[in-house]
Amino acid sequence: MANLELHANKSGHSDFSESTEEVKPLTPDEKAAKVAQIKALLKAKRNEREEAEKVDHVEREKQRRSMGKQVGKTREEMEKQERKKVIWAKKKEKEDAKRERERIRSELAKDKLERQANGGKLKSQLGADGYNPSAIQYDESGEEVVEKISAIPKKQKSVDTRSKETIVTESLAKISQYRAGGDGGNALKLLGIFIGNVADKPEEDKYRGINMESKAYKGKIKGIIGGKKILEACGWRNVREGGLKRSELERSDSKLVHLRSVATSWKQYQIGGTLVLRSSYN
Amino acid sequence: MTSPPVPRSSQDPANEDRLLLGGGEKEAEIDWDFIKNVKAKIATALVEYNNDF
Repeated sequence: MANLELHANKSGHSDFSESTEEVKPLTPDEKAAKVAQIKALLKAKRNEREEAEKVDHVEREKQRRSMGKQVGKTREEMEKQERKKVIWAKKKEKEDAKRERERIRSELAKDKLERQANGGKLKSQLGADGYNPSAIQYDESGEEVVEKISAIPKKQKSVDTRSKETIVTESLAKISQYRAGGDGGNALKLLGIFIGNVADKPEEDKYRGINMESKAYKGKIKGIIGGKKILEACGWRNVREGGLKRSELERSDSKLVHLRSVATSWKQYQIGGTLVLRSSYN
Repeated sequence: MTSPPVPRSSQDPANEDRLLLGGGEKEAEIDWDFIKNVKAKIATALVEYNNDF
């Protein structure tokens, strides 16, 4: 009974009865025929599916191509629009520039007429920021320009508030970082010579002056950060503008006087049409 | 007639960029101890530089 219910549930059959006839088992030939039939059926199904897929593939390819064409067309259209936009912007820029030129020309012509009418000067105009002429007002006295220039804040030289020891220590560290070509070493050597000379012979004036235009200074210290700072920390000062020591000036003046006396002592003699130079200086 | 050469020192010395110890003032105080100290520091830095190089 349970088997019956199971069959009814499984197959959905409602009108059936139990048979007493036994189903005959298939013979090997029949079995082979049945298998062949099922195989043929499967093959047919597979062929059918492959055909359908082939058709689908062709359809999809067609669709893809048409989409590609459409995208290309759209891109082309966009590029065309972009080109048009650029051309339009350039055209507008040219027109704007032309309009501005014309405006300036007309403004200049107007100012010229106004200057002619007012004896070379423009009438004053008041704007939001006070006096605001439409064109540059040339002030012949130049006082205003001088005033404006002097009103520009001058760049303040920063004052180093660090102690001399700190400046020297930090500068030495910076110089020691110059490794390429031994630049740091060269700078240290020259600094050592400058400072060593002064320290060893403080009474010698010649060691107190350093010519910043010299090849050695320019080549070894000028381009090195911290080189000049060490010298400044030791007490060296730039004296370019008339700050030379009195003794140095006197020395150079006395040399100059001496050389002038040599120059004037040269006498010119005309002997037999030959130019001879003689010196009375011994 | 050729003019005698003019020495470099008489070619307007004010135009040369120079550094002077004490700023060119005789009265300016110069810290000689500090200068000697800097000399020693430079010598040490040079030795270290050459050792690292």
